[in-house]
Amino acid sequence: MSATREQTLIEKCRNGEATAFGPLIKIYRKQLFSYLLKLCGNREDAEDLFQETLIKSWKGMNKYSELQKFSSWLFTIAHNTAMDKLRKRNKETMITETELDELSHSNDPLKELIGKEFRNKIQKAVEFLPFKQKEVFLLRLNGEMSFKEIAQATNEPLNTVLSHMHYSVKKIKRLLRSENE
Amino acid sequence: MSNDENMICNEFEKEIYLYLDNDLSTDRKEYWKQHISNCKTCSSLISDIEIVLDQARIELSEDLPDAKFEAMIEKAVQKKRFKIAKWLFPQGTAKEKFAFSVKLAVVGVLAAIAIIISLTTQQPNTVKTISNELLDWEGKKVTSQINEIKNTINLIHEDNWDKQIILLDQRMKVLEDKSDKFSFN
Repeated sequence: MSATREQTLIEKCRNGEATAFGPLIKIYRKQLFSYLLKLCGNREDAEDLFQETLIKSWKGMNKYSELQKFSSWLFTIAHNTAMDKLRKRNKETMITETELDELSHSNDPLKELIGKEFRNKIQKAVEFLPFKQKEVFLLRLNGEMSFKEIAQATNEPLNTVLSHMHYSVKKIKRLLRSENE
Repeated sequence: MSNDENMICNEFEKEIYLYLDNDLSTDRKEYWKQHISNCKTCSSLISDIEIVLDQARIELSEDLPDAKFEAMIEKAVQKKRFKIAKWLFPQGTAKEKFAFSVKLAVVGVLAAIAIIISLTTQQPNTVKTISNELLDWEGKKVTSQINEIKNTINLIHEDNWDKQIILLDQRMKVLEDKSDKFSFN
């Protein structure tokens, strides 16, 4: 879908045209749901968060400014909604640095590993990331947000965000290699 | 790889995401471009990141069923109903409707208990009570005025007005006598 079409839908939503909201969200539906599902870990919670994000974004359409990408704005709402819920539940899946370091190190090119039951492995790898790293990795992956935008959304310094991304990618690579040995 | 080269690669690793985001100055970007073209480690670092992200994007992709998505959109854009209307006529799952029935039953039972209690307990008639109190007060006021009059009459009696009149008479006579003495007739 072109940027112009997205802009038209945004404008219609701002004017209260409810029929434009579905097509607008549909552009990011998969990415948004994938993000919430991977972040909270279960489908039921992800659906609740998705619903809440839709309600908040529809209500806040008038506050959206074109200075920000629509996807970044939408993912920031989703992220804050998820954080509120997770904070309430105090549910953070963590894996210690030591546990990951215990996994074997290999220098095989990553390309060779692709295609060998990759789905399960990468899911497991992301699931095992410490929460902050997972948060940054998923916002980058699904929200297609720049690191500056992620820093704003997560309220973290840019260097911290970059460091989370660096370690998350490193750990996923390491985990994938160890699984293939 | 020399120590210097290693340091440059470590430096690139720190800036790699800014490089990918195009968030570096033109000069800096050009510098890394040059470096990557000559450094196998850094070029494979970039391709590894791209592979992880591309594959993860594909493999971690999840979706909602169309009908569910449509229902969610519908729910998000529906006009806000008044809370009381929402409470009285809930829309939603069977669970929510059951919860509403329970609430309604509880309210019904409480209302019935309140009616029974009010019917079986004798309540004082407040209007009547106030009227009686006013009448009592008026009665007391009238009685006290009557008593005051009685007391005054008693005082008058006690003062023996007859005697007073006789005394006055006597005084008058004395005065008359005195006046006779001074008369020149």
